[in-house]
Amino acid sequence: MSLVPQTATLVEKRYLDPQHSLFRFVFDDEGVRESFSFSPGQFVMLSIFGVGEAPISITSGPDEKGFVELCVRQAGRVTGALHALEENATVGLRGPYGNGYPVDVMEGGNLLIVAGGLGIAPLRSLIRYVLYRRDRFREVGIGYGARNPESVLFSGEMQNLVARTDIKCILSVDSVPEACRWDGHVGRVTEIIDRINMPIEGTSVAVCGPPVFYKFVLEKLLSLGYSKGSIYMSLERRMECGLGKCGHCVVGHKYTCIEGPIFTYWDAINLPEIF
Amino acid sequence: MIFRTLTKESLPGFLDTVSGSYRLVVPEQKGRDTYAFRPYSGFHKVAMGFLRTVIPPKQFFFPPREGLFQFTTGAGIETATDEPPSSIIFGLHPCDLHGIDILDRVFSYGERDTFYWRRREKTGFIGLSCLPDKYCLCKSMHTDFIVDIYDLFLYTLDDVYMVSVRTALGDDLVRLRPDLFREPTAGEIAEYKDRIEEREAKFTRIMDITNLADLLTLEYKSDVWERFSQRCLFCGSCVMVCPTCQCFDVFDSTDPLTNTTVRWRRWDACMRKDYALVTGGHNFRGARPERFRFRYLHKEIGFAEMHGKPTCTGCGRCSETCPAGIDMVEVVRSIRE
Ligand SMILES: Cc1cc2nc3c(=O)[nH]c(=O)nc-3n(C[C@H](O)[C@H](O)[C@H](O)COP(=O)(O)OP(=O)(O)OC[C@H]3O[C@@H](n4cnc5c(N)ncnc54)[C@H](O)[C@@H]3O)c2cc1C
Ligand code: SF4
Ligand code: SF4
Ligand code: FES
Repeated sequence: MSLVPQTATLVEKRYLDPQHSLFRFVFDDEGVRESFSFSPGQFVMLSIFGVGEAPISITSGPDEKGFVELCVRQAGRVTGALHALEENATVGLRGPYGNGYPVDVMEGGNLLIVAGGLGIAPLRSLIRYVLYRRDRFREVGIGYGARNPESVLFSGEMQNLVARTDIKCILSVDSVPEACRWDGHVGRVTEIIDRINMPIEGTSVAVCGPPVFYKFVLEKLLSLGYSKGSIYMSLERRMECGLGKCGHCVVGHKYTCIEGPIFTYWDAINLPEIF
Repeated sequence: MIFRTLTKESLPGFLDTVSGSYRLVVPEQKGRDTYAFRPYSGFHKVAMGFLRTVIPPKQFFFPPREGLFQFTTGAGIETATDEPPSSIIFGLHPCDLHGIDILDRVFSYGERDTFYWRRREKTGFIGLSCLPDKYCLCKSMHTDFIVDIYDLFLYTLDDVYMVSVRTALGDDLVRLRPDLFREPTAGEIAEYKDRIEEREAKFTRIMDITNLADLLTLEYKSDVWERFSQRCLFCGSCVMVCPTCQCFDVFDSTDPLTNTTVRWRRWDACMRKDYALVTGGHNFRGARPERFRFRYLHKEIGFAEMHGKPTCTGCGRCSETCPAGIDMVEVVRSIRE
């Protein structure tokens, strides 16, 4: 039934930093657990009963079956209540919604992934998708920027990516506090795009991060000569239904929840009210 | 589609019979010039000459506030299991039938909205012809007549109704009282044709929508939006009375004694200040002109791109209802100038 979630149990809660945690859920219904499938970049509507719903990107990979992982920032009522939950608590999930990344278009070419802060959430799913079928992509580059070493989400996983030879992954932080150890780049995330140095031709770029991050990264990508049609961004809007019906997510003339949240930069700039 | 005629004296008997088999809803007079769709309580209450109800028929499939499910620890999620009654709405004019067609598209796009369709599927429509007043814009919006959606449509002639029987349900209704219906005569057909022309002549107000989507795009930054938004009270009345506005909000309420949570949806309006506000305080459409403009853009462009036609049916409700006297015709004229 539309708008009615499935119940799911919080089986694991992993602290990432004071604002963010990773939550792993298992659907209570066995049939749903088995049949639930999604593509990277899609999202679910998460219900905390008695509090409300919020759209959250799926951060686990589509090949990982039996559970769904969400990486959530404590931002308001629903996300705050989620952070207060203990393991074994019941929540509601419905979806998956949205278009997701066009992996069929991306496969066969090079892929550059650029994330800022919590923007890693949907991109982690895409990265996992790539890792499961690395041979379908030519060069793969990943740039991830965070404020400081402490706020690098999934730092263990990210370090593993840095260590890989079949992927060029560079982490970047704005600044490093004195007592911190940091091997990655210090400076602007746009600088690591230069260092990753991906070809321009035949490369899809997936970008996700906060508004200022978009501003600088998009400028950089355009100056390097990437086509607006090959840059994919994920748009955030208020969402109440996820089904193209409640109207809240409309940006310009498009429903972000079904025609998005992934738009090419070209489609996005042709939407009024984009930023 | 077949045509029958029904004499005017027979209509009360026909509706009495229909109300015996279906939940029948009819237009009734409420205030001096206001009308509402109400459960049938005898033909004497039916406002045959009404033009528009304050609240459009969307309320029957998409109530102003609706419980979607309830959740309790232990029992989990429970949804309503009651079967909505088989209903007939009598007296729908072409604009409102077009409005239902538009909602049908919205609520079946992608995933079907089960809450809308569980009631909608059990509802049939008896249309009724009308003569325009000064607010009617259906002619301009090309919604002044309709060939689908309805089950029966009654065209008012001098002594009889020319009845279009479009669907099997319409035929079922006719067969409840076959004695009341007969073949139209040549004279009645001629009268029907005359009536079409007479009605055409009564449309005094025309809103020119030629290339309107383009003009709205070109005039995106026009000061027309600023000007009207200074008058607009952002009360949302135009949205509530619009037969095709379907925005909603979703929220929970919990009964502290039983600890049962109910998830609701209720009508919302895109003109509201926090409609596009997200956590962190960014508002994608905070400014008044932006909020005022959005409704026009969405009705004329956004929806049309997605579903193939603009969402204004020209019913005139918004112009008649607006406490600030904002009239769509005037807005569109200002954009064209
Ligand atoms: C497609 C998509 C994917 C997202 N993925 C993630 C993710 O992976 N991790 C994460 O932490 N956050 C994500 N967000 C943002 C997240 O949805 C908001 O932080 C969340 O809705 C805040 O809800 P709240 O009740 O805690 O906050 P409140 O401010 O209390 O929410 C109030 C109301 O505003 C609505 N709302 C507020 N902000 C947003 C917003 N940004 N987007 C949509 N609706 C909003 C809520 O639905 C709610 O009705 C995503 C948003 C979108 C649109
Ligand atoms: S009814 Fe009139 S005043 Fe109220 S929101 Fe609509 S246009 Fe503005
Ligand atoms: S916008 Fe106004 S005239 Fe058009 S359908 Fe809605 S209420 Fe009727
Ligand atoms: S979230 Fe409701 S229409 Fe997109």
